[in-house]
Order: sequence, then structure tokens, then C-alpha cells
Amino acid sequence: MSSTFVIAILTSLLIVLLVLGQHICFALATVGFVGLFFLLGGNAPRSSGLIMWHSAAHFVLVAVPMFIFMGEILTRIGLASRLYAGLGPMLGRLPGGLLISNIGSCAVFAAISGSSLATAATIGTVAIPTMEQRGYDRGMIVGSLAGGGTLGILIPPSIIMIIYGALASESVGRLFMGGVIPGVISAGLFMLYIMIRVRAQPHLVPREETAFKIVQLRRLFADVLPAFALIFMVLGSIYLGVTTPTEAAAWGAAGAILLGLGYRKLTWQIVKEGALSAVQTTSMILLIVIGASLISYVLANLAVPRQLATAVLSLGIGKLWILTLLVLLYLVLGCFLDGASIMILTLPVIMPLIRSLGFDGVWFGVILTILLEVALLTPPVGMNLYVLQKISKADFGQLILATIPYWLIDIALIALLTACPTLVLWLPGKMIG
Amino acid sequence: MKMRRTVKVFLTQSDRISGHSGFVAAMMVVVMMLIIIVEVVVRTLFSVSTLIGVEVGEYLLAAVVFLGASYTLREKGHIKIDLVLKRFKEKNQKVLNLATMGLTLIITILLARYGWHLIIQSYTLKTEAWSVLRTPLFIPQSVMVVGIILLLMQVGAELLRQLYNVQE
Repeated sequence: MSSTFVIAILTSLLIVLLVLGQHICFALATVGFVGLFFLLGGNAPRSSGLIMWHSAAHFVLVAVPMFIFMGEILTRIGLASRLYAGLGPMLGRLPGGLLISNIGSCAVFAAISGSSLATAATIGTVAIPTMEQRGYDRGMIVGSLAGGGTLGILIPPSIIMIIYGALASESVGRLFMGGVIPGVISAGLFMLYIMIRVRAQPHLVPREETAFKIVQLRRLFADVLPAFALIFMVLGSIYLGVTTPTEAAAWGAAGAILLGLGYRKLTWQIVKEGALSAVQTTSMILLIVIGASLISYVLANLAVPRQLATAVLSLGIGKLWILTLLVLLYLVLGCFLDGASIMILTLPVIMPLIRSLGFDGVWFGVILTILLEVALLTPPVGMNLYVLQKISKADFGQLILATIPYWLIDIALIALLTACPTLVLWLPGKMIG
Repeated sequence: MKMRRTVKVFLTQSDRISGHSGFVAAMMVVVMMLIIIVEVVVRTLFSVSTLIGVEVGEYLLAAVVFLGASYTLREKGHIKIDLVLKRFKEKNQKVLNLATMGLTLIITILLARYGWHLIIQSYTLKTEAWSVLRTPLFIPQSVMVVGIILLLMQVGAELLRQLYNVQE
């Protein structure tokens, strides 16, 4: 059976099931079983037990619940509002005022939480009411949150990168380090855009007339430093090779609990709800991984990914064109699925192609992470747009217009990183251990 | 009428059990954190690597995923695309929900069946973990299958909820 045929059948079945509203994980498992029974046949379905077990009992993925647990505790003890209160007076003095501090807070919070939605939603709930009251332009507010949110999965720790590492057998530590410099560049470009825009249209922001006081500096130390200390502890131990990312995540969660005790905010309720929330997200993501690995087992047994890679290579189109086509593919997928699902679904087929084209696995992981973020922000239907609309109650058209500059910047960043892969690979190369 | 009451009892019990199962999974997240921390401390202080943290961490992750599955379903935490579904008439939406849930029920039965097959295989072949613990693998794998059976129960509950139009 030709690989095109197999892909066509399984993909159309999957699309039908997804569109009819079956849960993503179960739709994947359905397609997986169809493949196991009808394409492979024989004893193949019996392998599903072992596939399930190996997809779930995977030490790299233990980092997923650990980082979510850490982020949930930090959110629940009110770290986001502390961060915002601490960074606001500092960054708020730059042209663009609190818009700049939105980006800054998102960047720091990104280093605490592993997801873009959590980042945008958490900072958003603190920022939106204050900023609207002060008279900031609503479009600019949601734009800065959408942009800031994209930093959430680029700046480590990142749930998406952990899954990528597990599925593509790349070191999660190296992926994390690879995201740092692009994340900082991205944050810088977002801030630059806001400053230029505000210089051209000053009516978009109110005049901030707060002078910097020494009291604020003290507050900054009390509010922001513990968070920074935690980030440095988690990322530093990965960089120095003292711990694996999974171990660093467990320490991070313990650090979050200690921080909660220090702030006198920690309750049993917070620990319980944080853990339950980690259970939900972990179960949701890993069942998708399991469903998808049933399909990849079928595809691998029919040698589909290899055939596809060979077929694409034999077309003789350049690397960059294939990369461009992939960018378009992901932008389309971002209209229907969330970032994690898109990655889990496409990686088994895409990865052999990427490797045979000679791209570096860590580099592609970082590029893919940025790309998924862009995909979730681009119209007509990006998933993140809906969440932002929910928390900001902005008009959908306004929201789309406001986010365009940010994803254009991210696409420019992808181009920059393609032209200059060292920006991604330099820091992982400096890692110890 | 009597049938409807039985269904309601089943739904309440199923929701309750899934809640407990989710709580157990949540506690496992906390235990996971502690075990990994202890492993790192032991390794740093005595420079011995037991890898017990790695092994137990993996088992706990599988347990969290599967024991948390039915709870996550109850909390509507498994994602789906409802963009297209919302455009159908309400009656057709219901029919589609029943159809996809029915399909999910079949898939969950298959998962349970082959999960059971795996346990039997690990038990008869005496498959053990490669670490110092030499854990017989059928033990942690059984937790996985228990989780799948609880998931099966909750999928059945969601199906009945749709069928009998029981409000939550």
C-alpha cells in the first residue's frame, strides 16, 4: 500500500472524528485502532497495551506534572500580582508604560509557567482592569498580552519543549537553553514595537507621572527577587548539569511551596487544587500522546515516515522551500488544534524528514515552538485568540488587528533564526555536563 | 421512571468515584515530587545513584495519567473541537455527541482489553524492571488498567447523562 494512500485514509478519518466533536485523545486512539486492526492486522492490536505503557511511563515526561504543579502553586500564592506590582514601576517608566511592563511580566512569568495561555491569562487578569481604568487603548493591551503570552512556551521551562524532547529524543535541557536567547530577542522586539508605535500615536497610552521612589525599589526586591531566585535555581541546575530537567522541576515545585510558606499564603487547599490541576493537564496531554503513538506505531510499521521523507527529498526542492511549506502547514493546523496536539500529531511524520534534510533537532524544536505560537494567534481562528477574547472582552476584529504585529515579529524571528542558527545553538553548546 | 432513578444513582456514584481517583492521582503528584527530591539529595550527599527515583517516577506518572483520566473527563478537561459542532441544530448535536461517545466507549473497552493482555503477559513472562528494585512490571501496569476501567465507567456515565438528559 502506498504511503500517500495510508496517510490520506487515516487523516480523513481523523478529521471527520475531530470535526464531529470526539475528544482529541479518543479520536486519535480510534484512528490508531483502525490502523492496527485493518492496516496491520494479525497480532498488531495486542501491541497497544505495551505502546500505552511506554508512552505514559516515560521519565522525561515526569517533568510535565512537576512544572505545572510549580506554576499552579506560584499562581495561587499570588506571585503574578506581586511580579506585576514589582515590575510595573520599573518598566512602566519607559515609553509605552504598562504595556512594556506587560511584556516584561509575561517574560518573567514565562520562566515560571510552562504554557502561553497560562501566562497571558494570569498576567491578563491582573493587568487588564488596572490598565483600562488608567485609559490605555484596549487593542494595545490585548496585543501586548498576546505577544507576551507567546514568550510563555519559548522561555523555559516549556511544556511543549518537554513533549518535543520526549517524542524526538532530543535533550530537554538543551531545548530549554536553546529557547532562552530567542525568547529574550522576541521580548526585546515586542518592547521595541510598542515604543515605536506609542511614539507615533501618543494618544494610545495615558501619561504616567509616577516618579521612582526608594519605597518601590524595596518592594521590587521583596516581590521580584524570590521569583528570580527560583528561576535561576531551576534553570541554573539544568545548565550546570547538576540535575535533569525533571529533577529541576521537582525542586522548582518544592521551591514554590517554600515560597508560599514564606509569603504566608500557602494552604492545604492551594496544594490540593494545584496538584489536581496538574493531574488534569498531564492526563489530557499524555492521553493525546498515547493516542498519537498508536497511530505512529502503525505508520512506522508501514514505513510511511521514511517513504515520505524519501519522496519529499526526491522532489529536489530546496530546504528553505520545504521549511516554508511546513510553516504554512502549521499555520493551517493552528486554526483547529491546540499547540501540544499539533506537535504530538505531526512530529512522528515530520521528524524523519527534518533529520534527512540535515536540520539540527534542537534548532527545529525551538523553531517549531515559535511556529506553534504564531499558529495559535493567526486568524481566522487561532485558539489563543479565543482565550484572550474571553479574558479581555475585546471585540474579535480589534483583537485580530492588535495581534498582527506580534506574530509578524515572531515570523521575522523564525527567519532570523533560520539565517543564523547560532542564536539558538550557542547556549546549549555552552552547557556543562 | 425506575430506570431513570437507577441511572441517576449510577451517575452520582461514578462522579464520586472519579473524584476520589483524581484525588489519589493528585497525591501521587506530591509523592512524585518528594521522591525525586530525595533521590537528588542522596545522589549529591553520598554520590550514589539509585535510579529508584527514575523508576518510581515513571510508575507514578503512568498512575497519574490513568487514575486522573476519569476525573479529567468528569471535569471536561479532555479537549475537543466544538467549533463545527456548535453550528449544528441542538438535536443533531445531541445525536453526534452520543455517536462519538459511543465510539469512545468501544475504544476504551479495547484499551482495557489490551491493557489486561499486557498485565497477563508481564505476569507469565515475569517481566521485571531493570533497576535495583527489580519491580515485577505487572504491578504498576495493573494500576494503569484500573485507571482505564474507571475511565470506562465515566465514559459510560457521560453517555447515559446525554441519553437520559440528566443535568449536572
